[in-house]
Amino acid sequence: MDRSLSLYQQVSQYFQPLGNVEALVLTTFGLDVHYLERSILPAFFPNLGDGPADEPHRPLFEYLEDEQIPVSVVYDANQLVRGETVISSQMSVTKELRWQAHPVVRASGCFHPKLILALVSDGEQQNLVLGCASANLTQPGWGRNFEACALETIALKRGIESSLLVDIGQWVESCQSYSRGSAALEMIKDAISNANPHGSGTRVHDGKYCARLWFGQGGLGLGEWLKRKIIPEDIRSGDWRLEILSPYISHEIPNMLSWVNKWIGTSQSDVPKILFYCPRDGELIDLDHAVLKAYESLENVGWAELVGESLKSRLKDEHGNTLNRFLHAKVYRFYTEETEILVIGSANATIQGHRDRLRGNEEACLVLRRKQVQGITLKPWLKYIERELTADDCKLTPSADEDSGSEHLMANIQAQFDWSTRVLTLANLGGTEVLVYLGSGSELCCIAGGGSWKEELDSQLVGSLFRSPAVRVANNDSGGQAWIYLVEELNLHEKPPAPSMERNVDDLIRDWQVGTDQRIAERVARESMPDDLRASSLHASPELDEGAVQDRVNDLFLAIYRFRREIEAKLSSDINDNRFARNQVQSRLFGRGGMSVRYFVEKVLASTLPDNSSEASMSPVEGYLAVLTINDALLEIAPAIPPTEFPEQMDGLLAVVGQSQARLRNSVFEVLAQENSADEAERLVCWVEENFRYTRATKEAS
Amino acid sequence: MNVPLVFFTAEDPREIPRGSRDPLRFLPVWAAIGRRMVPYLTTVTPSYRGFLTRFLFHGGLEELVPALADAPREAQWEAFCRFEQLCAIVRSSDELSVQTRNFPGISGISTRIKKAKFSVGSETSYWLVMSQKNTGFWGYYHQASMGSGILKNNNSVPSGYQLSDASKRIFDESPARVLINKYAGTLRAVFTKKVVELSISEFDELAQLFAEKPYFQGTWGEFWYQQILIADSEIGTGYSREIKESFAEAIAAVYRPGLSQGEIWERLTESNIDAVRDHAINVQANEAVIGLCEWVFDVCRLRHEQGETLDKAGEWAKDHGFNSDWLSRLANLSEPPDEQLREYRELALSGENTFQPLAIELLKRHKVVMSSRKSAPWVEVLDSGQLNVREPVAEILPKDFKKHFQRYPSGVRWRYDYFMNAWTSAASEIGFLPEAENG
Repeated sequence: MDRSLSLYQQVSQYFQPLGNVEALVLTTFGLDVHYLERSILPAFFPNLGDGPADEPHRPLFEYLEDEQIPVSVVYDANQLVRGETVISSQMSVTKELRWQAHPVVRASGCFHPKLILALVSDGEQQNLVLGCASANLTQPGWGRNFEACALETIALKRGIESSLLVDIGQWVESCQSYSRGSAALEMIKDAISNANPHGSGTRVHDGKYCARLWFGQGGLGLGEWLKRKIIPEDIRSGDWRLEILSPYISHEIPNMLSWVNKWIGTSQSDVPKILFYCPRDGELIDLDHAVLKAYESLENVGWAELVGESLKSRLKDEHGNTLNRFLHAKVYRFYTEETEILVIGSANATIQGHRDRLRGNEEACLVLRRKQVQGITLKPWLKYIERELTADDCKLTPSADEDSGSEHLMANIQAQFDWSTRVLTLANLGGTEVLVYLGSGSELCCIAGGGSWKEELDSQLVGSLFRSPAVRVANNDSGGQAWIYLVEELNLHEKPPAPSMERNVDDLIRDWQVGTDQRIAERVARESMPDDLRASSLHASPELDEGAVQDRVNDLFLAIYRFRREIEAKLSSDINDNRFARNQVQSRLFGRGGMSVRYFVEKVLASTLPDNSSEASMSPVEGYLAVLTINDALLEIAPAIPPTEFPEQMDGLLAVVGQSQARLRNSVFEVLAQENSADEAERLVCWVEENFRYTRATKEAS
Repeated sequence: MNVPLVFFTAEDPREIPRGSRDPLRFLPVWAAIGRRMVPYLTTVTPSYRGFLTRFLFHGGLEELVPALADAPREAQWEAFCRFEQLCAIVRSSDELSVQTRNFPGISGISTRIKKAKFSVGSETSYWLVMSQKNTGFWGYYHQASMGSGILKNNNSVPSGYQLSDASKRIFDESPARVLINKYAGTLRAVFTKKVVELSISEFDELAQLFAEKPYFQGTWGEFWYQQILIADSEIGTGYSREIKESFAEAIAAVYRPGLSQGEIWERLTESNIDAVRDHAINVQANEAVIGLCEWVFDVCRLRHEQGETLDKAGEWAKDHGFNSDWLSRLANLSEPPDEQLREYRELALSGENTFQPLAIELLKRHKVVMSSRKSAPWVEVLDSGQLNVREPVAEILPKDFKKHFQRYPSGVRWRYDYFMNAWTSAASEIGFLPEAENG
């Protein structure tokens, strides 16, 4: 197992050759939104390059503004964190990138799988990437802990024989019960059902390995499922051993351990056949002594430590002492000298983690059975601790088991907001009444147990959700306790870009002049320039900063010309068959994102006719010409849009732009009338319209 | 299905406190002084052969594909991407008579030639480095080539590049043009096709062109000397061409392969050419204070068994070099032009126990620098005088001041090179200076 790269680096390297991500689903127990956006999500889009140091997610922000790539994150609603602390209901959560959050509340047990599911395409072949990891979407998970991960790619070919793909299809359906509004899950489900996979049992692929996904399907706990599906009786002969890495171990022994203890038999040497990694905190064992006592009943189990120095951190404490990394990996490794079965994922060595109880956790593990290359003998990862471990070796208060806090009072709420209709829908799936708050304002509504609430929000409340897409929910029965829930956002392309990522009108004009790839490449190039070149450079770089003298009107015409040509080119292909092209047209023309027509027109209006708090940065003539030209471009494009596609949206868009044009026309007229007579002003405006319009009619006339 | 990837994770390097250089942000101060004499060469543009690659490419476009010579830079980049790969493979191939290795991306190309054939392409899978556009000769040499007057913008919107008028005149009469025309068919394909398969044996003369030292080749050599080694600065930002020429001659007079850049600068302070001597003295004065300040800062980052305090750091400094021997040598040198550096110098030389006040000032400066980088200081002094060391230093140089003073009698602790290494490297490739034996 390679352990030299961080999870971010491994994922980036893995995804780089696979082409474009078309849909992405991540699941996690703990979720740190800030860290996810800046330090995790960009890993899945490595071809965008790194962003600036203080905005590493900037290229991804721009990419997601342009391309409607559905991204969903499903997390345990109890575990919204910032840094390493669960955030309180008084804190606000901001999202800067376009992705859907799906909080999961479970009546018992927790939502614990750490899955990566990505639909990727290199233009010819569509693939599905499955990753099973132990890492939460948090800073410790992706940045610091010692975690394990397995990544597998399946080519989606019609009629494919793949039990793994069947497993994934079932998991997707089960996950949709938590995240009905997930566009990414829906797209992946469609792709799998188009492939129409058939199970192949545990057939070894290419004579090398077989892979399956365990997530508690069929109501089977991990041990029972392994016994039936992966380790049938005919392969149980031989000198099998088991090594277990898990940061948490329950007092109650999971069924799998009891079964394996019997099956695997007694070792001929002093080293037991089942070795458990013994979690440590400095010199002490990070386990309750009762756990050690419980495992004394299994004669083939021993405690062990990791071979080598993988747990040595490069971080130091305040005294300069090297820290140890927290082992958070959950791996079960069965092996003989030639065969290895790896179970890698989220399942701790606890009865909840193994789902030995009906109401255990939601978990997921990738299970691989593979033959070792001939001539190479599999070596142990763990080193047996020969001395007896006593209560004195154990910490008085071991680290809290992440599986143990499963019984909780958190209200079971589902909250959805549709950015297209501005309707917020709340459903109280619990039995008790809850109060729901939005932003810092007063109570939004009170919902009885089993009840629901649905309403179109006014602009103030929409603004509140725009700043922080979350609701606070208080349950009267829990002593005034409140929780924060991220809202499941629908029609995300209708949401305006995050205010913290805002661009001014000149940025937009520049953006509209170039394609996405070039824009992102230029930003990355600017950041990759050597410090001394950048710092000591007294003049602008012609490569990166557009050395030419700025001419805003000229730039405007060029920008809108490029926009029109780009949309026309996409419309000339069959957008019904090309999902990417369709999404791009939809997002550019009818969305509200950073590259949308609406956003552009809003920025022009704000720069030309600002409110009292700011100054105009565009002249009325510039503003008017911008919107006039946009309107012309849309009129040019409109006939090319197939009648089945977006007919009403186009009318709506033209109306919005037309109104803006009328406002700006008035402002131009007012300015000109101050200097000339009204007749003269009217004549000038008409002259501009006759000479600067670029509709088919004017072209033909000229 | 591919074979699944199974791994344990390492710590994310972004989570580790940065070992970034320049914690006191002296880089802009020294770079501004260095740029007056060496305006366009940097640590990433130290090679005549990098400039030559751009020169050959843009000359070749004008000769073979004029439409692309007038095209926007995006269109030109794709063609350059393939041409750079061709040059890289030709420069490194053992199958040709001569090699000029040492360029970005060399490590990845050893396996590109198969059965004497190789391919170049604009797709990322062919790139020399992960981001060939940014960290190859396109990204690194565009500004230097433009500043040096080798290239200029063409008339396209957005603009691309073309040879400057002076470069075009030289190109038309140069051996490069002859060679470009000899390879016309092949290069036209490289410039216009997305992927081209080529035969390595065809390119021996190109390999030789890269290996030649043009300095002794009449106007061709004069051109490179003028454009790279004594290039004009932007008006008002550098020395005149005459002074730069004197500078080049003065370096040639003292240069020996193996000399450190600090030794070259110290020898230049004794030059009998006034302008050169003044510049070297200026560089030395600047570096004297920067070297001292960085030494003091590093001492504050030392760990001691009894804990870290400013007092402890002061004692250590006194025992290990911060004493009258060093300070009096520095006092004999000129004052640096930068006002803040002059204040640090004055503070250091104001008495016997100046370590602590200087350290406090430097730690304040460091805190501001790190705050602007949104990062915690590597070391900070608390009100109690305790030092909170987050990024300890393992070793402080020089270990032996006596030996250091034998090599550098001025006492200067040379830290930055003021582009001297880039200049001597380019000068060696051109043939103006002798090349070090190890290349």
